[in-house]
Amino acid sequence: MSKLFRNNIAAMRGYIPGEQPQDSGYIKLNTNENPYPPPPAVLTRLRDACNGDLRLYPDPDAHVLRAKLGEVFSVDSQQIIVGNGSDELLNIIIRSFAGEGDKIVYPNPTYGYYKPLIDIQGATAVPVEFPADYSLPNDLAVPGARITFLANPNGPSGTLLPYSQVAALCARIDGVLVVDEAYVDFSQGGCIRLIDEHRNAIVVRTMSKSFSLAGMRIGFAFAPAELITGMWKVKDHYNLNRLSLVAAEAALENIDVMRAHAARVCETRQRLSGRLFELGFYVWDSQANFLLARIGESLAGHDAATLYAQLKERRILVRYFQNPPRLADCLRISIGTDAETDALLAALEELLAA
Amino acid sequence: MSVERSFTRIVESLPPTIPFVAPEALERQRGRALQLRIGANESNFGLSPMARAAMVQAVDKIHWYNDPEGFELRQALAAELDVDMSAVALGAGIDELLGLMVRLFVEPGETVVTSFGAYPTFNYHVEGYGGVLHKAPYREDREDLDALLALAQKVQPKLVYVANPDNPMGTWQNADALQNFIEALPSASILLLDEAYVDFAPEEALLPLAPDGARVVRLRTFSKAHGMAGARIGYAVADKEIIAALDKIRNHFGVNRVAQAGALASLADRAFVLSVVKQVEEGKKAYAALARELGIEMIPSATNFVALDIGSGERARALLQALLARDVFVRMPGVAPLDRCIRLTVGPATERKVFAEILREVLPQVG
Ligand SMILES: Cc1ncc(COP(=O)(O)O)c(C=O)c1O
Ligand SMILES: Cc1ncc(COP(=O)(O)O)c(C=O)c1O
Repeated sequence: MSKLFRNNIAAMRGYIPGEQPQDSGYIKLNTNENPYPPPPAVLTRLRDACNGDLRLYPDPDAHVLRAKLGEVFSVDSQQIIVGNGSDELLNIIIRSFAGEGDKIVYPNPTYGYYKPLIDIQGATAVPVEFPADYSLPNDLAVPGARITFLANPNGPSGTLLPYSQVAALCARIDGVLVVDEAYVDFSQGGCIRLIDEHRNAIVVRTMSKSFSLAGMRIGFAFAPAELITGMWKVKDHYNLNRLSLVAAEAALENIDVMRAHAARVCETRQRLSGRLFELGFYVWDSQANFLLARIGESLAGHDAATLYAQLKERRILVRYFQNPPRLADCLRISIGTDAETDALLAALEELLAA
Repeated sequence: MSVERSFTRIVESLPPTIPFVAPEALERQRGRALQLRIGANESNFGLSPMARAAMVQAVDKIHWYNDPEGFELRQALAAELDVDMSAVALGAGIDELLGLMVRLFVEPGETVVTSFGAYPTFNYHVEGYGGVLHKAPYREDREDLDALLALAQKVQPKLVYVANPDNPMGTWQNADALQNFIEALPSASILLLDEAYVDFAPEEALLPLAPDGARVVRLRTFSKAHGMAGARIGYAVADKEIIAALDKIRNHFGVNRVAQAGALASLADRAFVLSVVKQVEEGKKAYAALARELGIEMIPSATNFVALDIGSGERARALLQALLARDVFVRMPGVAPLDRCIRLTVGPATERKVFAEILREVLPQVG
C-alpha cells in the first residue's frame, strides 16, 4: 500500500498536535488559548445559529464577513481571504506559491506547523536560526525563496520585530513575505499596511487567540488583490462553515471586548514575567499571550522537563519542547487568568524551593 | 523583490472560475432573495433536536481548541460501522477529504479517472494539484462501470472516482457490480467511493465495508440526511494505512468544536435520520406523480434529489432560467446527454407544492 502514496508523503513523519485534554480538570497554559471566553453577545449569536439553517451550505465567498473585516481593518474586501483556521490559510499560501522543491524560508525556532505544511507540499524548508535574542537574522533573505514566513510576534519566544524591519525585509526578499500575526493583538505591532506598499506581502491573522475563538477555527489574510485571486483558486469552496462565519462576524461587532481581554492578558503577562525573573528564570520580552521562560543559572539543579512533568502532576499544563536543543531548558507558558497564574506561580515556588 | 511568476505553474494554469455559482452569489447578482433553494441538495428537513442541543452546549467551550483527533466522534462512527477507529478519519466535509485524497496519491502529471458530468468539486481538486483527468461517459444515466474499468486499465490511474448513489443523476450501482469492479481495478489504483447520499440508498446498493488492505476509500457526510452541510463535517473509512497517511496531511483542527459535538449527537439520533429518509421517499413519489402529470420523465433516484428529463439541453437551460426568474434555484448537469435534465432537491410537502405550481406555469413557456 505505502508505495501508492506520493513519495514526499510516504517519507514524512506524522504530525503530533499539542496535548488537548478534553476534560476540564486542567489549568491549560500550553496551547495559547485565551483564558477569557468570548463576550456573551458572541456566544448568544452562535447558540442562535445552531438551528435548522445549518442544513444549508455556507457562503463560499464569506461575503458578509469579508466586508466586515474590510471595514474594521480598513482593507478592501478584494484583499481578504478567510480560512478554516489560519492553519488552512498557511497551507493555501504554500500551495499557491511554492511547488515541489521550491525554497520556503523561516527563522527558527518558530511556529511548529510551517515545517509539516512545507513537507506536505514537497517544498524545501530553509530554516534560518534566530540569534539568541530573537532579533531578525541577517541572512533571512535567501536567494530564490518563494515564500518567507515570519511569525510576528514569534512563537515560542513572544518577541516582536518592528514594522520598519519587516518592511525592509519585504523589499529585500525574493518571493512573498508572510507575516503571521496570530498574536499581534497582544502587542503594539501590526503590519497590515505592508500590503499597500508591497506587492509581495501577505498578513495572516487568526481569531483563535485574542478573539477567544480557537474552537471555531477562523483565520483571515490580507494581501494585494492579485495574490488573493490566485490563492482563491485552490481554496476549498465551503472552507469556512456557517457557525464560524457567524461567530467571526459577531466577534468583530464586539471587538472592544477582545481589546479589553487582550489588555488584561498583557497586564497578567507583565506580572508573571516579573515574578518569574524573581524566581530565577530568564524571560524574553513577550508581546504575545504566552511567554518563554528559561531556567536561569540561579536555578541550577532544576530542569525544564522535570518542572513540566511536576506541573502536569499538579494538573497544570505548560509547553515543554524537547527539541530544538536551544529550547530544552525553557518552558512556554500561556497567559491565563490571574487566578490560574497565581496557581502556577504558587506551584513553581513550591517546586523550586524543594 | 520579484513577484513575476509568484504563483506555482499549477496555480497559474488554473481558471479563476469556480465549479458552480453559489445561491448567495445568485442573490447578490439579482439583488433579490431566492424563494426556493433546491439546487444544492441541501436537506430541507432541518437538524436533529439532539444535535442542536449538543451544539448549543458545545458553544460554552469555544475559546478552547477542538479535539484534533476527533476522538469521540470517530469512536462512535467506528462502533456504528463496526470497524476499528484507526480506519476512520474526519474532514471538513467530503469536499475537503476529496482534496486530501488527491494530495495523498496524485503527483502533478499523474492520471485520475472519473465520469463526464460527475461531481465537479473532485475535478477541481485534481486540477488544483496538477493531476490529469480522464473521463468515461455515463451510460443510460448511470456511471458506466465497464467504461470506467476499461479506461482505468488503459491509463493506469492513481485514483478512480465513483459516486454511489450518483450525483447529478441520482442513480445507483448494485453492490455486486461494484465489488467486481473493485476487484478488476489495476493494482496501482485506489477507488474513491463517494457515498454522500448513502443514507437514501436502497439495500441493493450498499457495499459492505471492505476488509483491511482493500484499495477503496469510502467518503460519507453529515451534510445530507443529517442536515448539517453548514457545519462542514464528513468522514473517510478506509484501510488504516491510508488513514494513517491522511493523518499526516489533514488540517488537524479542521473540524470545529461545535460541528464535532453536533455530528456526535446526530449520529445517535437514528430516529431523526430515518424520518428524513422517509419524508424524502414520500417527496420522490410526489415528484414522480408531478412528472407524470406534466408528461416528463423523472429518473429513478436513490438520493435526496431528483433529475427531471426536460428533453434537451436547450430546454433544460431555458427552464433553469425561467425558474430562476421566479426565484427558484435549481441546478442541472453540465454535459450532454445528462444536461437534458434539471436537478432539484426533494423537500417537505409545502416546498413541493410551491415548486409544483411554479413548474406547471413555466414548463409550457420553454417550448
Ligand atoms: C504563529 C501561529 N500561527 C498560526 C497559528 C494557528 O492558528 P489557527 O488556530 O488560526 O489555525 C498558531 C497557533 O498556535 C500560531 O502560533
Ligand atoms: C457526490 C457528492 N459528494 C460530495 C458532496 C459534498 O459533501 P460535503 O458537504 O460533505 O462536502 C456532495 C454535495 O453536494 C455530493 O453531491
